[in-house]
Amino acid sequence: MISRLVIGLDGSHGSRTAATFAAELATRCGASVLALHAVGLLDRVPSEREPVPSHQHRVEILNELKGAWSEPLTGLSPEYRLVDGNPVSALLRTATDPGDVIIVGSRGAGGATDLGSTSSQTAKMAQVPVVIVPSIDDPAPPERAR
Amino acid sequence: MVPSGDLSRSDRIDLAMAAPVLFTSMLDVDHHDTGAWHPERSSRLPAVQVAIADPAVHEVIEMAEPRQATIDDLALAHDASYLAGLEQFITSGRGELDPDTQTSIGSWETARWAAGSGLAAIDALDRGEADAAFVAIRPPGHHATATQAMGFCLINNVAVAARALTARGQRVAILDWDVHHGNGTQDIFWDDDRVLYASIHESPAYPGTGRASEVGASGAAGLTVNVPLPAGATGDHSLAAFDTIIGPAIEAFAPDWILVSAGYDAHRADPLAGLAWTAGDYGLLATRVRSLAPASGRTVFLLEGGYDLEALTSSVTATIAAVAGVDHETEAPSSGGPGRDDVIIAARFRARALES
Ligand SMILES: [Zn+2]
Repeated sequence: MISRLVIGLDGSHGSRTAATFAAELATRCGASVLALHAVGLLDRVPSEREPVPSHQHRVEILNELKGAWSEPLTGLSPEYRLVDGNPVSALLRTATDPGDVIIVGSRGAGGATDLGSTSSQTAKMAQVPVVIVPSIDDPAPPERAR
Repeated sequence: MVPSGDLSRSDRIDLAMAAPVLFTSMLDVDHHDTGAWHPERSSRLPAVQVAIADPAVHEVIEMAEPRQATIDDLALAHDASYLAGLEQFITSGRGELDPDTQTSIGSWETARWAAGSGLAAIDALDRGEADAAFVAIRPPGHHATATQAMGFCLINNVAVAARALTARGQRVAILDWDVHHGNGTQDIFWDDDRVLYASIHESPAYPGTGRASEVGASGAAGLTVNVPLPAGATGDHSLAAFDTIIGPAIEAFAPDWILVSAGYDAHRADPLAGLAWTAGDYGLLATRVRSLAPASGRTVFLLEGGYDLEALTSSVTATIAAVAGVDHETEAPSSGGPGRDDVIIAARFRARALES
């Protein structure tokens, strides 16, 4: 029934917590894992650096995705994918099979409106089940993922 | 400005042919603060102001006042619940709608000015005040869907303008030459047979949509036209795409209005993307738009992206000069880069969409 876990990763504390949860769930239900990063408009213009050519940037970001960001998934042989778009649209376009389950970290943006967080927007619009993993020990306000 | 008596022959011809271009700027009402480092920043509007101060185009400019869109105006293109949530989000002081899209406390009011400016330009053109209009606005709009802000965009300005026109029974062609695909605009008009949406954009790139195979819903098949071009593509291929695909599509559609999602981030100097256009390329594209104009006073250019300020200035000047039909020295058009095969592929998808 659950055949694939689609996890949105961006290097944030929240996404790491989600990956840790996903690793346990994947092990228990034998699902495959797709580790996804949404490549946004600002990905190639980090504030502290000069813009880099997009292909070079993609190599760098893919290395991060395969490395530190996915560290909790080690041993599960995940598939890694960069998807252009914002996190919500990237997750929605990718997780379209009946056996897919989206797993995202909550970044603590659960205020008066549901516009503001990737997790709540995804949950509202997805055609597949969505698991929102809270990161209760998040020490700082959400940071821009770079 | 009245021409002086000692003009050269070519100057006289230029002025005789020059068509007035309406210019709407929301410079004084821009309170959308995205942060010091953000490329979609307040200094973009002054850069456009510099563009119209250029002696080549200064005389053809007719200034027009912007206006603020009402909620009813915005609801032409957006869900009411989205608008209510967006206003609440912004005015409650929260700042990040997604990793790209920042807001400040003034962003809601500013976004309403941006969407309303397109409507004000249409009103002024209706009154016969000019042949075409250039609307200098921010935040940009073409990534915003009916229900989602993204990619620096809160309200889909061109969609609001197009829907205002279709609401009075008119047909609209939207040409989107921003380097990024206008996923929001495409989505809003996907099944709308009163609007043709045509986009030239870099691919692969943000937002990941806009493949040549995306041609519209079954009731509007062929009314979405996408020409994705690879990184490094030069302006010659965009012109070929216009001449062989987009121009004929617009002509066949016979719109009452042409709206241009005029982004300037396909310029080779732009930090956010990888196409290799020059200001001269924008001038050539704008000339083609002018040649397709359904009638005088039925063309509106709405600013989308464009993040290198010098490139933005020179490209907007080139656009307005071309629309007005005045001579203007600018960067030479670009050619020789990749993209030829991609235009051929897009043409095949277009032909297939017309068969079905
Ligand atoms: Zn753009």
